Amino acid sequence: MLTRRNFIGSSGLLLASTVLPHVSLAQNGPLRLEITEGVIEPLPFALPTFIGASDAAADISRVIAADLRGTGLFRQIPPDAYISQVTSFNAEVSYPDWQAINAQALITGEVEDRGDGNIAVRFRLFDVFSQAPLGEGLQFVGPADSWRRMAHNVADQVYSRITGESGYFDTRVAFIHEEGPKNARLKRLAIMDYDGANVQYLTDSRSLVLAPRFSPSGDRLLYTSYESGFPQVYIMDVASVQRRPLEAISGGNMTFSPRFTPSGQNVVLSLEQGGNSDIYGVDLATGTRSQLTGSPAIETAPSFSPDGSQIVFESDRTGGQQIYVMPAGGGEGRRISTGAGRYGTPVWSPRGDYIAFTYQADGRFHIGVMRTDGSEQRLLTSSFLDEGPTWAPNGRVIMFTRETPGDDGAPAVYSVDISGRNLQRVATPGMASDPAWGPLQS
Amino acid sequence: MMGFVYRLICAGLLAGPAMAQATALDGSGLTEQDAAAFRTQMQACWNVGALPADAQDIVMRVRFTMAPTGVPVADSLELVETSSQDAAHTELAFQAARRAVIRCGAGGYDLPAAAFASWEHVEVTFDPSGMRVR
Repeated sequence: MLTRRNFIGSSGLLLASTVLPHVSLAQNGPLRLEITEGVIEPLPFALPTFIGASDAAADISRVIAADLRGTGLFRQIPPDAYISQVTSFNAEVSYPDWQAINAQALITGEVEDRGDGNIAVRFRLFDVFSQAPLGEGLQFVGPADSWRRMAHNVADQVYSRITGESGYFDTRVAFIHEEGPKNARLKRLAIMDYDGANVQYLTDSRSLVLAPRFSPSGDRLLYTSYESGFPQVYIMDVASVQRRPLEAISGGNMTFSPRFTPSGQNVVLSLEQGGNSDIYGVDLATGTRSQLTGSPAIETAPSFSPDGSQIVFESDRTGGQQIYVMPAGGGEGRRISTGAGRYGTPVWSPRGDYIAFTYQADGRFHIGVMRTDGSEQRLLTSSFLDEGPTWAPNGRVIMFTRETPGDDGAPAVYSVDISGRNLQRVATPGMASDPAWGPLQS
Repeated sequence: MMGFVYRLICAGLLAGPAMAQATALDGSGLTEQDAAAFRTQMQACWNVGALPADAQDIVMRVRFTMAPTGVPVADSLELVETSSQDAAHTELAFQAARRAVIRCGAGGYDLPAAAFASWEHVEVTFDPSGMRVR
């Protein structure tokens, strides 16, 4: 296999490179060049408004472009710079016209009103400088009022074909909608598209609610509610909005910080009894509860590895709040965080490669990521209060809560990619906190 | 081969700053300066920003043929060697390299026509070691 070391060695350029880096002027054979520095910048794309008479064509085009721009990986070339006009979905692409404006990707499409309440959305993606399609054209058909989802489907396809990663646009996010002054805040469980559109409220504001968590298939939510007068974990069917306490617990005890297992058949949560919090598993079919930790420390915020074999959680068993990993069946756990500050709310990436966490040190809060053995820790954000990371289903973007200081301080939902780039506020109606990113819907 | 390397080293050590004076070291008519400028032009179009992290680590060598106008022949681009065993990531990295070669050469690279024989066939190693995201 070619590695960097043996690659350079085998090329016969090692000695020459000390004098003439990156260039080899051989008498015979090809001219050999070596490029070690390029650019990291958004890929410019052109997206002529999809063909179609209805408003949906323009709306769908706008959402696709917003999805791609929002990743920070793509830059939309302004339509007024276009030389070519796309007047037919099946027309030949005039590549030179798109090359002239430096469009590297071209997205064309059309929207057909089927007349039965459904629309069909078709698109094609082209690599402009290779003068070739990138993958096959695709069509999505659905009710006209689900046009936003179809737009997200197109954007997911484009994103995936260019980046090689699965997309995250056709997803929903559960969160806590907040209203009122800081000392009398009203909170409601809500759900929205990943971009803040289509907000639906799932509870009223009579009871304080906290920390929603999606099931792996996105059909159910776990959350903590004070509906019974003390914190208790509830489970809700998202479609019907039917809810119930996860289990009957006696007054004075509290359950909180729930999360589904990757199978969706069990739940882990924290149970507080007599001032001590431990982590328990609950079988959703039988209601059977099993204790997974048993130290006198506060242990909470469990999150499963994607294969279901391990649980990451936070504990103050050594005095400071740190992150530990234990087998899914319970056990001592090993500490993986090593910094001097406080670590909390660890969440395992859906890809299994990183753990996201909240970190507090020197009066600042951060969202960070580390490898699952605690190595390669990186802090992605820094503010007065950043907390509660949640992963996009592709494991490359994180949402979290950021709260501003002072009596007028307010929470909002932000997103950032795992390189620390592209920090953005998610457009929510009013104050929002505790985001929980759901799976791809299709 | 050793003679070639020896000549390059001698040229570098003895010439010093005068290396900026373009000289065709191999008698082909393509100077070091020409080749370096060619590389610089192409480098400016090598955009790995949209590649997944795993594909940004791939070292690959691509080969292509040039037209006498200085425009790369798009259909001639081929992958010679890659450091990755992941076919999907290799394909994405190759497409980024391909775009770099073609995009920056769309108007023709600035190369001496008289030395066409020395740049008609080109092999480029794309090695992201100098731009790794840290």
